[in-house]
Amino acid sequence: MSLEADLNRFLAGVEKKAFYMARAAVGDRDEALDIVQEAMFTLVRKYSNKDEEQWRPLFYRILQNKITDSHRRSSFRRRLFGSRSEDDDDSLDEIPGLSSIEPASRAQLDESTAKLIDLVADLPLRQQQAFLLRTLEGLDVSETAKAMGCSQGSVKTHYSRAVHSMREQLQEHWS
Amino acid sequence: MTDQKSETQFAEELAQRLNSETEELPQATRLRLQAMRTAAAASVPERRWWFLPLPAAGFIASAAVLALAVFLNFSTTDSVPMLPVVDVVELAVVQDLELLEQLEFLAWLEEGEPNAG
Repeated sequence: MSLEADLNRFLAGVEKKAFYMARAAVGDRDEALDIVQEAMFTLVRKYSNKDEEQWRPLFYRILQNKITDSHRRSSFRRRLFGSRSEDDDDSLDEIPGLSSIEPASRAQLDESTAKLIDLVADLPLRQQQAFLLRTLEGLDVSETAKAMGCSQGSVKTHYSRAVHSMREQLQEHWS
Repeated sequence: MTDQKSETQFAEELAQRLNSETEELPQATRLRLQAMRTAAAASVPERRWWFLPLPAAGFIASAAVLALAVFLNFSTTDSVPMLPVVDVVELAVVQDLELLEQLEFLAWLEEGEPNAG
């Protein structure tokens, strides 16, 4: 099979989850699509010569970097034009997750799933990244740490906090 | 332990719900993702010749040096002094010991020819 076909197959397997992660993080469909597109092109142009088993962690590392960059840009824009105070330093965590599902799709969701989606979108960015990489993509702690560019201990902490937080808030919906 | 177990179960349930959620993207979004993927996969950079694997590059370099040596050997005339084989070896950075030995052997043969005749 050609390299192009291999890449196509790999990207087809990750594109939906990547889009979901990006959308949950930035809260905007078009920006999320742009992020996924940039991640795809970066992987293909710079790392397609690597072994195929390295593509997945590399792709998610690129994706998470793009998401973080997007957050920083948004934060900068809001500091420049918005009303946030200058000493508010937790910008990476406070981009509104929005209710990032299109209204038509949202109407079809049951209440608990809609709540889940809102909670994921509202998680602080690092917790959200750890949570989605672990649960949605099924990366192990080591792969998640590589994708996020942090230690395995940090991954465990972020993931655990995310699960605890969601569990508390979803208890009334999931009995 | 029970708490740990139920946390795992809870996480698994979350994963199931999120996984099914990601599969239900709007048609327009799916089409855009597909187009992006196809374009990205098609942008695979062409392999440059200097990205050849090391053994292949070594083989090509050795072949080139050998061809040069043979060419110089055949084109030698009385009016054109032959480039000493030793210089050829020094000019072409050759790491192939076998090839070096062959070249030394050729030089030795050449030196021995007037005595033989």
